[in-house]
Amino acid sequence: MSWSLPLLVGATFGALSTLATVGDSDVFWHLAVGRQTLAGGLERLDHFSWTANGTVVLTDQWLGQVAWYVVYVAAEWRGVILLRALLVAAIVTLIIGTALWSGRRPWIAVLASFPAIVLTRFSWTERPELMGLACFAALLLVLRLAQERPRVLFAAPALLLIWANLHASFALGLAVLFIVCGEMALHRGPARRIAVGVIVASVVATVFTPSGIAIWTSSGGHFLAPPRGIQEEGVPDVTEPYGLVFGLVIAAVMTTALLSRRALPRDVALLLPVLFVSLTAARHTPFFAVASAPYLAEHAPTAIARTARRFGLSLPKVSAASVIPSGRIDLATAAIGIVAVLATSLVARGEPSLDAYPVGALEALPPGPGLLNEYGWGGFLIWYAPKTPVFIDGRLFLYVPTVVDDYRSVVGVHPDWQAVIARRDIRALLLKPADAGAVRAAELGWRVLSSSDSYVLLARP
Amino acid sequence: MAVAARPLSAILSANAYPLAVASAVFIIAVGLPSTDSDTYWQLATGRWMLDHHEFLRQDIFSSTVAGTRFGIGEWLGQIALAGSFAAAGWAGVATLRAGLIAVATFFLVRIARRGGTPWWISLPLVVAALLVSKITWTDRPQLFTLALFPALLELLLSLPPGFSKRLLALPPFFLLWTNLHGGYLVGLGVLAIFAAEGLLTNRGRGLPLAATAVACLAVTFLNPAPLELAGAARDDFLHPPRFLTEFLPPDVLTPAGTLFAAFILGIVGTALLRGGVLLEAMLLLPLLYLALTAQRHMVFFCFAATAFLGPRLAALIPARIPQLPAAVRFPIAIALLIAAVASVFSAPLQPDERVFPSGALDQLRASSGVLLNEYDWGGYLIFRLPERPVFIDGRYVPYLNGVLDDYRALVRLDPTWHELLDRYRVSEVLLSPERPLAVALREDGWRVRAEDQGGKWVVLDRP
Repeated sequence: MSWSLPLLVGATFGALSTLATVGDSDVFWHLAVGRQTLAGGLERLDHFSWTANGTVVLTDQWLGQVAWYVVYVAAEWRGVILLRALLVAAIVTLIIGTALWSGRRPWIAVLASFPAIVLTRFSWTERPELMGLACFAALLLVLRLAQERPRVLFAAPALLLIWANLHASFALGLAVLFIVCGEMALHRGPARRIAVGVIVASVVATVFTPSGIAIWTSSGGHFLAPPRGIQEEGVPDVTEPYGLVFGLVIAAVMTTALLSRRALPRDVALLLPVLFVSLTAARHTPFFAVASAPYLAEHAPTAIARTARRFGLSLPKVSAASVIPSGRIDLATAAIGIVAVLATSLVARGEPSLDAYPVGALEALPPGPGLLNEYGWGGFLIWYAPKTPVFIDGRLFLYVPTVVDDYRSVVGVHPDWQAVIARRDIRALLLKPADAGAVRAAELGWRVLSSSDSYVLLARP
Repeated sequence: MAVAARPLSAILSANAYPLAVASAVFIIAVGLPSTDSDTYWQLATGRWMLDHHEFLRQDIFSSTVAGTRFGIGEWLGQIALAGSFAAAGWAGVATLRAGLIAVATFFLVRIARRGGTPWWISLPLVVAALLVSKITWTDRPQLFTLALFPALLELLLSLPPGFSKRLLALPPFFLLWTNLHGGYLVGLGVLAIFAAEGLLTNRGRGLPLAATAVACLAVTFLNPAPLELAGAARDDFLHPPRFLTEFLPPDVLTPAGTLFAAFILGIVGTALLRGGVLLEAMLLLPLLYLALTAQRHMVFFCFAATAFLGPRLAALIPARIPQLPAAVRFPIAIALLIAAVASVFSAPLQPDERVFPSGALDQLRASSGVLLNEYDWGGYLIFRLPERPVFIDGRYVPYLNGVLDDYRALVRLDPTWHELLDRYRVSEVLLSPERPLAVALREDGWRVRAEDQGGKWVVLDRP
């Protein structure tokens, strides 16, 4: 198989991704944690907040955080954009490559991969999550290649070893690998020993993380009880653009399954669990789109042809790729792609977009504990106002339940909000002007230290 | 005599299983008390129409949109509810509800048995689909859609190609449905799909169904507000009001959502292994989209999926469990039917009003002025406290042009809350004590007129 087309399309999307500026709130705290890890080793207790200070923190993304910080040190924000672009290019290349391996028809592979590429767009943030998605796409390729050469599966434990240190989504990869290898062990005699060995090795590999065996529970919160208050953890909504694409992917798979030839049990073993996971939260929707691209590339043409035949229509035949695979051409394409991504990253806007953050309040922030900040601004403050520890930030599970409850109480003016302010000794509020807490505090005489249309910083009288 | 009796017994015997399951479900459903706030305003609307012998075309229940025109798309359903209430009080409402759910169950079982699906596959499918539908077991006209949708589906699935006398039943069926509830649009869509598939597959023999579909479309305009009706239903489907729980997208981590996901996975999984037919794709895809838009629509997909899942599961699972002999099935069905009839006497005589501010009614009755109430309690107040117009209630559509936004701004304590409170001349509030507005008004010295010891509600009035 020639990889030139996947590499070309991957590089194109990688280059396009550099048009998006850095700006996700979580980027900042990930970078701060990466800096902390490089400076003083892996820190297992929180030092960024004043409400959970000294509490044990999750270390499940340490390698990803370090990687992001390393590129930041090397080339500042352009380094971050470059790494993001390379990851996007890798993801797109892997998606199309796997689809092409399954379907053997280049443009159909691109078409089948397109919804997956569109959906991954919502994960093109500068977070370890993007690395997890790249690992997932790589695992799917490994699983496809292993159908013809089972020994390829030996790459899976190594992949999971890296993945488990990058992002908690490795749990999905481990589950998928377990199911597919289990199916292989049941149905394919000669490959049985390899499948069992790979499962055991993969399980063991995931334990080689700073969290040890506890790593297996770190992703449970996201997969089984996603915090619905966070937008990306919300239920997939098909009336939103991303949800519509997700709905179309499900529809495409369902239609293909109904109208095409029968699939193999391994397709069922792979697609059904990933579909369920994708239905749990908006941020998980790309997984099913990525997993289904090879199936669609392989079976959708049959479904279309059968339907057309039924209505007496004749479609032009799309033949399998006749290009002779050439390692040299692939290497040249990869080199050109990397250069293109590198070049676009160099000319990309090198500073993060801070329009959504209270930049104007930084000067007036009181140092030390006592500030209650908007949840979405916590990461920003960790990076840009290190002398003012945050009340809460995007590391949600660190703050569940007591800090989150108190935060909601003050911001939402619950009956005990004044008691929370007194108990926590909250001396300043950095909130959106329309938040009930900000409105009420101003009415009760809190002083406005700084304000704009998007934020207000209030000090207790 | 003997000739006439034989077909009847044959029909009964053939339907013993659906009848038995429907009777069992009736017994369960009739024992459930009313709990939904919207039931109250539906009853009040129906009662007004029965009393005045005219359609209620404008608001008479609120202080904020009084006199505004609003939809009458459920007029017949509201009258049916009010009629059952007038006949037997809350027990009448429960009996009507249970009857409609039993009708839905009867046809659902028939759908699930298609292709000779054995009972041990069809029964769990029916139970799962009914559990998904539980979210719509509220005493509202949507119950009619719950009953009529599987009836339509069963009829269409069993139609032979070409002309059938059963086609003649469809136009009156749609005439009735259109006047009962806006869900008829889903039915019309399903009918259009069957007609299109019939034309594509059977060519000329699909024409009678297509012609019937056109006739059905025509009769749906025979209602008191032809264009308004379709518009309101369409808005619910295309732009679901997300602030209402039932209009939120399905959450597969809730019990009903998990079952819904199981239906999706079941359809995809069995289709991957066994394939399917064009009709299934044409029918299930739009219903899946609809289901994914709002959890109250999950039921349509699950009911329709049942028809196709059963035969494929039966083909995939080779186990053979014997059917109950007809001689046993029939007496069981009759026994359950008799038990269902008897269970009418166990219907609750009162609704479950624990979630409503019943303890505040006396206090509110003694005062006057503009009352700002919780959205979820509006329907209850319309029925239980007609002398105090509500600020807002579950009919949400009349409130969309401003009042709903203002209500939200008020209870959330947006910066404009003082101005809004004055503009609407609110003199009294009945809110959850957790509401920021209730907290702020207390802090500002509004008097606590009454308060629930359990912390569910508080009545405050201007000092």
